[in-house]
Amino acid sequence: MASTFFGLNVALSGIVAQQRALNTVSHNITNAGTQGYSRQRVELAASPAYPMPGVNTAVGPGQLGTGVMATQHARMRDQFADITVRTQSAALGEWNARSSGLRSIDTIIDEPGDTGITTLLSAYWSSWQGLSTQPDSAASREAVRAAGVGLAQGLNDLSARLGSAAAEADTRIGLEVARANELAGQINVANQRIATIAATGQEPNDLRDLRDVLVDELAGMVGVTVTTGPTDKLSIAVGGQLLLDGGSDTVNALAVSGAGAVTVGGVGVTPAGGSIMGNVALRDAVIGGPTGYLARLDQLAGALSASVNAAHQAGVGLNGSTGQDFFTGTTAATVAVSAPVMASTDNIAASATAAGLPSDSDNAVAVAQLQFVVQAIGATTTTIDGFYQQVVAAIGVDADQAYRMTQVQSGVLDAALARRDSTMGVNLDEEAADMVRFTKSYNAAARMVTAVDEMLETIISRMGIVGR
Amino acid sequence: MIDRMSTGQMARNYLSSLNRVYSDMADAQQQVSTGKTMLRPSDDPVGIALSLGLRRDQVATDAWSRNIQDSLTWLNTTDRALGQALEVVQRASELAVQGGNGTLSQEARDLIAGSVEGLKGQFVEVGNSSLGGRFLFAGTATTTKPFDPATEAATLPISTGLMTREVAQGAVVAVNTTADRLQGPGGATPDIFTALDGLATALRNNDSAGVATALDDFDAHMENISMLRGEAGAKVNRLELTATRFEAQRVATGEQLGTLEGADMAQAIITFTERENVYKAALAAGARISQPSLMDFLR
Repeated sequence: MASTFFGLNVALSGIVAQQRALNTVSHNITNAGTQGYSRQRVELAASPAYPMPGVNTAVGPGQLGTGVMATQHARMRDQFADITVRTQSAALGEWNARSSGLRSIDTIIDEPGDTGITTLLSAYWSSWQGLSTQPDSAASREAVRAAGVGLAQGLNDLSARLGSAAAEADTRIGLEVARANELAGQINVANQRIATIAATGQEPNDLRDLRDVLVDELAGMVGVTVTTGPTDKLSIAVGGQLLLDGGSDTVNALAVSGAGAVTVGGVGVTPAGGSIMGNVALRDAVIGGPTGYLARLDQLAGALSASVNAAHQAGVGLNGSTGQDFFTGTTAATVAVSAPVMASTDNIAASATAAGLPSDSDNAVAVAQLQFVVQAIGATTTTIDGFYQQVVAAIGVDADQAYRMTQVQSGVLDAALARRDSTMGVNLDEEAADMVRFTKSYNAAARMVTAVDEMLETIISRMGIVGR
Repeated sequence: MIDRMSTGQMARNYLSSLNRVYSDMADAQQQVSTGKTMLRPSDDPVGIALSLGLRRDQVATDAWSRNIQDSLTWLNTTDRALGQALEVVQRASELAVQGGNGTLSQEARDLIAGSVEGLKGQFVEVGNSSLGGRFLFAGTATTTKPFDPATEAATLPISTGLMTREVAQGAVVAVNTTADRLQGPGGATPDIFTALDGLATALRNNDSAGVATALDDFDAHMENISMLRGEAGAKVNRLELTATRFEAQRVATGEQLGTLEGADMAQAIITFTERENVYKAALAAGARISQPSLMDFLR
């Protein structure tokens, strides 16, 4: 038989449970705007009924309910959505890094523009055409030298700018690798705190949120695979190698070499995406590297220098000089107008023979005609101007592709985030409805106490006073 | 399809679409303000190579056009000088006919012989015509007079160098006529100075056979100079045709570049206005959706 005060305890359990639920609603509402916050829910269940069946149990009509209790603070999170979000944010991170680097190259190359290499090349060839009609004129010679200096400086300048774009990517790699290692360390610390708390049977929901925010940030930098261990510790692998081993609480260092080799704890890996990989590609394949823009610009400068010099050496300067180079240097960074030409424009070899001085212009014609001479440059057979057009077109294609991929990936990531958010996000309307629901339940439970109180009043104060 | 939309997600969705609309509007605005659709290689990676090729062609064609103009000036000046040279030879021919008249006295023949010798100086003067400080018939030694006024003969060695320039891709022309060709057709015909001297001597010696030989020589010279004029004239015609072709080409290239790089203004402005409206609508929608919540309706 239940105690006289049984009803008070039942009502109290209701008051306590609803209060807990209301506090959680409050927690949800206040964290609606917190990054990475997962909505929480108090799971309520009826407490064990009375009495428990037994041999000596008094026979009654049935078990009596004993009220409500909170069984769990559930963290609303979809682990599969997390995986999608992290995979996609690694992909977005990579394309985003490429796109922002290429976007700036796309602008500094200044094509189609009035100061681009195309314009400078055209001006250079035109100056030789001009010289061919006036080979004895100092003004025409000066024009050729000025156009040559302009072209060489244009190549130097573009090479320097591409170099600084590569250097910027290099700096970013350094910063991001350092940050990734720092994040792995922080996740390791969070792992241990969560395991400690979870061992006591508590739910460290907010710590888990914090840890997931760190993992999300890491995933944007380098593609990761996350596995959860038995004690709720996360292990994080990069390209199959453990960056963070949740089993032994050890962190292996992520490193990127100057040549672009990625290692985790000294073992070479190939991570799937991430902004670090985007910047590595930018530094070592797109701008640098054997097929990068810088190498191709060097091939252009080399071909220009070699073919102009070969033609120029065959000619005779106005002062009778022979075998002179017009350009020195064979890379885009070092190409310059040669010292003899800088010293005197009379060293510009417009004539083919000494006998033809001063008005023989055969050699000037020969140099001017180089503009349309098809030759093997790098991996292609084309004219010097045509080769540069190919480089510009390649930059255009790369930048356009990176930009489009960034757009696509950011759409995909948005969708993945929306899917994840449909589980973990706080909806204020929903919380308001819960608030009303739990407040009503709380009020009703409180009223129940009053009802039991009135009942007891009847027993204690009014019972057994017959005939008094 | 997402069943449950959180308040934060609503705001994020709104912001990301607003950003997209805004950047679309900025692109359209840039097209309107610059009048170009191709501002950097990535705007049209396929068109950029074509566009740069056209720009290259345009500059190259301009250079060839300038070379043609320069060549035309040279050739026309050469033609005038050749015309004068022809007049000198014609005059010599007339004098030969006049002096060959058997009824003339020796004094008269001597006078004519003097005139004939004077023609040498005239021919030297014509042969030393110059353009812009360069002697027309001096070969490539344009700073040396091709004919020496003192000796009244060609300056030795005669420079036979040709002044060449490119006037179209791969088409190289020589614009000058050299002194050796001006002074005679070569072969059995003596140069013009020797022929004039020969006539003067024949007149002084009353050598009618010598006068007849000189007459034949002058005919050969006239034919030679006419041929040189014809050669120059043919070049002028060809160059003028090329220049006309370049002119048409320049217009076509300009149009093509305009189509490739330029924005269709009407289209660009309409696009911009459309996007501006979308942006305004998005802003207005944002101001409304974020405001009401269940909280507003609970007492």
